[in-house]
Amino acid sequence: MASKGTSPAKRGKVLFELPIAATGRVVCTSPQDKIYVITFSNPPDNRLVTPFCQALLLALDIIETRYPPGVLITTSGIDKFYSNGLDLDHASFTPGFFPESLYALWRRVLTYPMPTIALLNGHAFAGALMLAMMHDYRIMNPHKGYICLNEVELGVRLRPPMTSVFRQKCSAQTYRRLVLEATRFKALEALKEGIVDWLGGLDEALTHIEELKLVQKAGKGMNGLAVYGDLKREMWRETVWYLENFGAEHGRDFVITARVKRDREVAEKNVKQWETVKAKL
Amino acid sequence: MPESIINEQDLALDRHEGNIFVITMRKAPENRINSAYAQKLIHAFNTVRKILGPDTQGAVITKGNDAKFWCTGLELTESDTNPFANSEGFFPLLATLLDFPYPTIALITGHTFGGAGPFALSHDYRVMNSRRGYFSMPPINLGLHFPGIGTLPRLKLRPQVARAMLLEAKRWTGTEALADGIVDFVAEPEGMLEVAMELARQWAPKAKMGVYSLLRNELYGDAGKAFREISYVHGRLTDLPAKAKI
Repeated sequence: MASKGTSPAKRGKVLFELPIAATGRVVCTSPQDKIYVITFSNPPDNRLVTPFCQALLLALDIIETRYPPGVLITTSGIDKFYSNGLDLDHASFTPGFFPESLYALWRRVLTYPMPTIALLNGHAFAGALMLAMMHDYRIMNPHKGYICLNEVELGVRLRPPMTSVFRQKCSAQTYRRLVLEATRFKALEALKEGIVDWLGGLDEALTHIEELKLVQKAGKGMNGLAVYGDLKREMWRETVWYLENFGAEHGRDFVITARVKRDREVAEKNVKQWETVKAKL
Repeated sequence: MPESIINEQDLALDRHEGNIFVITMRKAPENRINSAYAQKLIHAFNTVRKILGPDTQGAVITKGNDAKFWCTGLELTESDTNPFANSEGFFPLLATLLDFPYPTIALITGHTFGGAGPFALSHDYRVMNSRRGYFSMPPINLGLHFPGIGTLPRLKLRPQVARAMLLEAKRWTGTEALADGIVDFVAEPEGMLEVAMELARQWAPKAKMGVYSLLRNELYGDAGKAFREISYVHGRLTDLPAKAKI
């Protein structure tokens, strides 16, 4: 099972299917009562483009409003990748992409009123690892794939919520290895660092769900309120705020750019002064 | 440390480094403008102009006093006792803004309503509170009009946005206003003054060659003309007072 991925039969009865544009699909199945597996496939590598994000958002809405609360598992139907992250051109040139699709999807997962598990069947890079991080738990295929944040190598800045979710959910040392060293973590090392919680596939995930009684966590507490989503929203409030306020990045970037430019001018002036003095000696 | 130039109970004018001036509106409870207050604001702008003189760098930021309100428009009841109230205050204020020789920035700290809409639009740049505050112009709902009320929306905004503002009384949050181009930046309450100051620092030097007002009037001169036309006029009624007073 581990090398080939979870077979469709094991994922359970199909509850519904949604298309992703013309090329892909999202399938929601239920292997056990109140456990929902979302399997997404948008070849070649499940990039987080607008139709992908919108289909997932709709799937999450359907599960929340039409089915009893339980546990959500997301995984990929493409063997080699959970997802290969953002399509940078698409992200840069699609108006409204960040607030309406990417951040909307991440925010929804981060505050979803059920325990969420990212079943990493294969590679999860950059934006894909961020999506996985928005889940409550991560389980990784021990034999295949690695995870990393390679922005430092690409020369791309991390936007506030992209980095804050790691800051909030990982240790400082792991955070540094991820962001500043672009370490490529295979499953066992990812487990040791705490980036993923367990190793295995769907069977193992179901076992952990049972052990931790996760299905019950989504239900109403003794006071009659279901608070799972509210608890998460407050736990990760900084990241939630960044995901809700994409517009504020513009102003902040503007201030930072101006400050950095000013600091550089001052530095240049001071160094020139030092060079002039040195030359005279 | 900023230097205090005007320090009245309802208005402050402070001078910061680099010829950046900050006008703080603090007329409790909601910074409503009547003709006397409009004249105070005009006096603040004139004070800056006289301090700086021509051909130098400078900028003015107009802000509210808290993160709840910027300005909630005109004191509509003033027209009951003084039918020329706007001609004596509000219209000259907008004319002053549109003629001003230095870049102006409206730091929209919170709710901006009614006449505060054109007041904000008459500034060169707008920074708005991302977390709190709505921007809307309700004359269509109140039965209110003055000749020139549409000039600034028409000249500064996309047609669909101007239509929504004037004919639909649409209400925008900071983020929505940013998307529609009504404001240039949004920022959290804690950071919004910094964004406005940074904008001021960036554009203050553009006043140095003494043509800022001239070139602004190339863009928005129709608005300036419209407001001057109805300023200080007592021989006729210049505006239709609101049928509904809110």
